[in-house]
Amino acid sequence: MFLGGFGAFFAFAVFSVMFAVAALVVSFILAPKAPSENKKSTYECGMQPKGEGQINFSVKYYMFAILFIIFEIEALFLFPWAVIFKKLGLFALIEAFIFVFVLLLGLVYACQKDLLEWRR
Amino acid sequence: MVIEELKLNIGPQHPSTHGVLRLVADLDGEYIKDIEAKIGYLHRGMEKLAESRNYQQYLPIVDRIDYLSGFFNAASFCYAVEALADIKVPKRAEYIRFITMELNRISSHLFWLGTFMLDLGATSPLFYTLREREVIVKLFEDLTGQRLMYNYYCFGGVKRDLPNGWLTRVREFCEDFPSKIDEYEKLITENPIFLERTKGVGVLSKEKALDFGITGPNLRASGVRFDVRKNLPYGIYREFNFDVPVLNDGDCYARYQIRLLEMRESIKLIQRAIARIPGGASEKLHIKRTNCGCNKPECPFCGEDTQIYLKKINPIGLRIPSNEVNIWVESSRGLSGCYVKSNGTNSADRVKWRTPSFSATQVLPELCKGGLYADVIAILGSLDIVLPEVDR
Amino acid sequence: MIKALIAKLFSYFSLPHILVGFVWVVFKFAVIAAIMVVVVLMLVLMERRVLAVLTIRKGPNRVGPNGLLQTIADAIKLLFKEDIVPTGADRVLFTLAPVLFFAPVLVVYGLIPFAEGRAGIDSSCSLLLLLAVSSVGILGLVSAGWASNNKYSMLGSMRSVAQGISYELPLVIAALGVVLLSGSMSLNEIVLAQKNILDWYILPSGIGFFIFLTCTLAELNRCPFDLPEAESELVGGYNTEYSGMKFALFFLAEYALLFAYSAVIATLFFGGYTSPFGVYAMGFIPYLKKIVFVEQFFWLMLKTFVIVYLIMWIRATLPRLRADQLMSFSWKFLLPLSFLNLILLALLKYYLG
Repeated sequence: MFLGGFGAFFAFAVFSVMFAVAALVVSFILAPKAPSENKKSTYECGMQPKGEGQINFSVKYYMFAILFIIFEIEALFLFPWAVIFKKLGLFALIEAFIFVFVLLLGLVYACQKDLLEWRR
Repeated sequence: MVIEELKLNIGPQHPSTHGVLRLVADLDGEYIKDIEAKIGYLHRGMEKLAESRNYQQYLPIVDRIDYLSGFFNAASFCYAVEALADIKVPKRAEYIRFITMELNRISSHLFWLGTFMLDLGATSPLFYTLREREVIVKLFEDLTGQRLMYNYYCFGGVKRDLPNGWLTRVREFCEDFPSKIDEYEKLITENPIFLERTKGVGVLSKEKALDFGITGPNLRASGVRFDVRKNLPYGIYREFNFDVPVLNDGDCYARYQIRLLEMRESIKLIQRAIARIPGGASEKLHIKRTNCGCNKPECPFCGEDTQIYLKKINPIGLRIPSNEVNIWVESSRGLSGCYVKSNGTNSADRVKWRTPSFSATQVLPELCKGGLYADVIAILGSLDIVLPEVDR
Repeated sequence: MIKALIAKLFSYFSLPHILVGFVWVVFKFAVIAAIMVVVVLMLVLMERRVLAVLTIRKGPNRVGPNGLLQTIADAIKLLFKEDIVPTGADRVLFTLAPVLFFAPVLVVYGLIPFAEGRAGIDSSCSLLLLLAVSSVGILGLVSAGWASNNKYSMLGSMRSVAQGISYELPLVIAALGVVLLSGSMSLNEIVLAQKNILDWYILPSGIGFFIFLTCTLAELNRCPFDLPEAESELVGGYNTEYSGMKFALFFLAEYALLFAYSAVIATLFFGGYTSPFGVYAMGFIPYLKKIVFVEQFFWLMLKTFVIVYLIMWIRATLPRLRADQLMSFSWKFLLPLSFLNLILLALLKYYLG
């Protein structure tokens, strides 16, 4: 195996992209091309679109995104703990519980502050 | 950073606007800030058409006003013309009208239930409801030769008598159908996602419903006991004693439940009408009439009551003296009114339709404002709007 | 076996030996890509037939014997279909999006052990890699929605982000429970730890399975979490503007992911490629002993397709959730539940094994 275990991983990533691009290229060669104004118009239920689609869109769930990062990192911290859990013994068990508990407290706090609601 | 509003066209070419309704929504994220219903994409000039045709010629067109429940429109126009021209309708014809209308109510509600669930994202109920609707549509096809635009009623009765075995098939359907409703309830009513999506969504208060002129199941779901069949009975409805289901919540869930209850009630009505129809099943009636042959008006087989019309109306000769009449019929969507003004010739001076979907479309923005985009679809579905009826 | 053959060929033609590993990877990729394409062709047909049966219809039955060639016909049609880029769309991103959505799928396939020691990518932390790679696809959805310059697409892609961030967490933590039980992040080792039906992790981690399945539905954008492409609300969602091969890539990736996630569920909770009885029928027959991986592949396929069927069944039964309900379901119910599951499993593991 070249490049250790990750060599195959990167090779796969590159090949997958190539696979997808190849599919697009084949279709590009085979498919007919006859664009027209009407065909290229944006679909909006048969009406002329009013205004742009690419606007500063109001994303109501950015708070979730922030919470997501916190919890995702926490989950990542727990992965190594889970793997060698048996070797670490009671101390690590309790420690991890405290870790999870603190984060759950954070979740409860966020819930109390109504961050877990879609806000207007 | 300025957060811009998204002006979104929902319809006319949209999978769940039930035809060609166009909604223009101002979205703030997923929330609806403002919504406006734009109608008129299916306008066919139904009212104007009446003025250039004689009454008989206009009758087939009437079915097209609401293609999911054609019998009701035909009924209200027939009752109107019968009232103007003073035409008597025999009992048997009234019973046939009664049975077909109630069956039509069920078929319309079934189609509504399927599409409503489709709007909520569940695909299978549509196929199950269409399975039962198919039975009704097949019954109609055998009776009238048509699956949607029946053109079956005529002034003074109905066009032809029931085919042989038809009533038995209806009776079998009525026995079978309540278990099918139980099946839907099992699939839908106890589904937690369905409850989440419909309970407390699009609450139409009693006052608002009355203000906007909402009628039919939508009104009864808001806690108003008003049913034209009961309050201002027409035809033979006054001879029947039946329950009008009323719920108080006024949300999408109540509107769903009320229609299920109505279907059950209609089944009972049809069963009772079949038991009481003068002359009974047509195959037996035919034999009895042949054996009797007396042609006296009081005879239970040859008499007036068992006819389907008393005399054929000459389409050109039907000249109605100058008068006006307003007839209300409880269609599957609500109060379907027909105003006819005659002028002494064989065509009407003015025909005006009052359709329940029109009011329901009007109230839609009121219900949707401040809600989520997904709720718009649910509310629109629950109001049971049929666009040809709105635009006429 | 094949690797040795490749090495022999290389020395026969006196080619540099350093390339053997590379050719081996190419070979594995080709096999896995072939598996994926065949599986997707089967899945699309299966989905249509299963839904047809559940909704009292017949489903496709015209193309080929009993409609078996329907998806192939569809694929050819999509290949020859004109590719339309709407005016106002971001051309580069518009083209890139399907590639971005599709590429991670094949990597995910590479990480799944199809038989003992037979995964495209051998890695000691394949589960973690799988979780990481599979969430890249959301980027494809977002760029598709943004690049289309279509309001429906945009709403759809925004929903997919919301869904992605909400359901990623319980998914990861449910997987963490399995890691805890097996003490390994390698999918191969996780499978080997559950060699018969009594060792399956569904038994201790039933809650974990429920959470994982739910989150899988959300990650796959399948009913009842099909909000990003809710056809009754957003017409086509993020792929409203796509046509031809670009649409086909989205479609392909979606179904490929359906299979991949089902295979991962089978691997994590139902013993993956191992036989539920602990022994392989092929293991008793002398000549077939060497190709026992065929039987292992069969078991994985069987388990996977049962789960795929379950997912299709769910699709035929449930209506769609609403965006806010979707979020609160994840954050207020699934996330605490997944932590509870983790704590329970930790205690179980500590006291019992």
